[in-house]
Amino acid sequence: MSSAVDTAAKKLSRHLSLTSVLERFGVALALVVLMIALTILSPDYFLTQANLSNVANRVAFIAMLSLGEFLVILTAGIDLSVGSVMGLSLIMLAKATHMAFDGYSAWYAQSGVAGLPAPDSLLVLAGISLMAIVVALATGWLCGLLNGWGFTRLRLPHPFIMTLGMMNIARGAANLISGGSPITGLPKALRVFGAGQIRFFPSANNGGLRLPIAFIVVLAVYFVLWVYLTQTQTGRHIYAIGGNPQAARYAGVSVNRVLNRVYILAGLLAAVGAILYGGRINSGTPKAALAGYELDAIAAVIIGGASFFGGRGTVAGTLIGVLIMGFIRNGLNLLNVSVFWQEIAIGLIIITAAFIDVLRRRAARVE
Amino acid sequence: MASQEPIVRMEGIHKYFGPVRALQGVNLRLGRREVLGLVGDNGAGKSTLMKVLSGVYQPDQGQTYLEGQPVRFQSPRDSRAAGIEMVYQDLALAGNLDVAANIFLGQESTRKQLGGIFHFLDHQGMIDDATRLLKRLRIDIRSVKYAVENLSGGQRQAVAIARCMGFHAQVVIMDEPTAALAVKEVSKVLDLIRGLKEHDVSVILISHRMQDIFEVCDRIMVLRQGRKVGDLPHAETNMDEVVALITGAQEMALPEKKVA
Repeated sequence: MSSAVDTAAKKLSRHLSLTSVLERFGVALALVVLMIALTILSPDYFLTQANLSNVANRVAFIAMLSLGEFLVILTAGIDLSVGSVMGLSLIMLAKATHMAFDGYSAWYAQSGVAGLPAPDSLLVLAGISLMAIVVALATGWLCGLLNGWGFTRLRLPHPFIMTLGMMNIARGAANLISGGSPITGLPKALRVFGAGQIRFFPSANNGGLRLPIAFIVVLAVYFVLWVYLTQTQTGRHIYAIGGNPQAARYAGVSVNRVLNRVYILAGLLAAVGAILYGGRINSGTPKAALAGYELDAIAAVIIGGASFFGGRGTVAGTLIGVLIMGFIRNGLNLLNVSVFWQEIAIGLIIITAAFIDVLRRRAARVE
Repeated sequence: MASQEPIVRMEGIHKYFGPVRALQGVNLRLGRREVLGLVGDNGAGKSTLMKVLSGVYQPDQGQTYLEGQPVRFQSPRDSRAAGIEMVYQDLALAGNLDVAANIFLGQESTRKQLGGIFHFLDHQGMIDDATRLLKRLRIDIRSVKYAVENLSGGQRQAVAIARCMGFHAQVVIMDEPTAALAVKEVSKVLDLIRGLKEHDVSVILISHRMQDIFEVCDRIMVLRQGRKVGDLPHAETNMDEVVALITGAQEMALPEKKVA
């Protein structure tokens, strides 16, 4: 009897270690293999500082959207609006900047008060930028709040519905506010989030390591969210809700409050994405709301190993999912593969990643 | 045991759902460290009665006493605060979380960090406490770090019961704890139920499996169509009698008298 228990336990622990190793490092391994392959296929260019920091910069806003999407998918939900909420926040960012700048300039010219800082002085531009960032974050927060309420208060059948509605609303609002055309020109204090770089070890003989500020923001935000998910009660409850919402409810977790918080975070992260995006292209364009970036975010989350059924996945996996998508696009560009083939490749990878999740669940059930 | 004030006393509980009279003047008493079997056909009112006790439903008439004091539970949270825990039939566990996380779900221990600004989970503390709890209840699970979805049905049931004990329950209500288990796991869960007595816990056990009821219960209470039709000490009854009461083949063998 006891030996039977022992062998069963051994089998269990072996199973656990194999799946946990694969679960923990499988995606990272895929990223490493991809990078090695691209280094071999594009030896002159892929592994250069310029290329890598270009990729890091380009994926920064997608990384923000994906992180929000990851939180929602962890609760077994879906947020179809993160891309268009980013677009709307971007328009609000640019609109607020321009309105504040024009308003201040007019007032500065009229008032004639001595000693006022000029409209293009650093102080005024930094102040305007700060205000615009607050406006963008408030926009994301509000959209997230409404998404949460649609699910938890209006009790719409699935987050799919509310966020689909929000996607259309944000698209429409972005076009209305911008008049359908880009609002170009952002102050330097904002552009730095999309285009700035920080140089590490400048004395090194290759000129040191230059990291895009956008990517540093990504790493910092990912770290904070990692702490939030793994070290706090709410983080634990987010996983519990994804695993079994009924169990969480029985255990006294305020499921609706946690869900509202998750959708608000997704909205806020979309707004952070808007700041990084706007800084990079130096403009607020309504096209960003229409580009379907939410689908890229969902793809990155799934490639990163999160389960669409909820309750499973890691912050690090999501970042790796983002990087895998970024490097595939970059690598196929370097190899002069058509954009159309890139889409097919990414489609196949999404299907493969989801299939791996299905296999893993089936293996767990057999055990 | 019977002479003491019972830990739970329910008097004349009525519950109606529109025209349906789910409970019609049911009395229940549960002694300290007693295992009470609650049996009856589907729709006899067992679950309704337990939902009244745990605060999911409010009774239309009647009063519940806990240790002699009248109580009115507005929600399961109230009854939990008073030390009444329900182990649900559908196993209210999150399969993706490990054993320790499930035991502490909703009541995680935290530790202040960075000068008390942040409350971070006390992972090691919860692992240690959960390990101790399982040991105390003699539950055989290798590590509290195993995800619950990788455990057998019996082990999951044991974790669900341990969860209640972790919250210092005085009364544990179990709804069909053995229904979904393999035969050899049933006896482990029954051992665990019997063992709860040592920890000063009273148990109300709902089950369709007569052999389980007769194996662990000190007393058996029979409901039929919303009324109590039997309340029998284990020693003074047998399976045939209980089954006859459940089906109505035998009417009102003996009301309260015997127990009182």
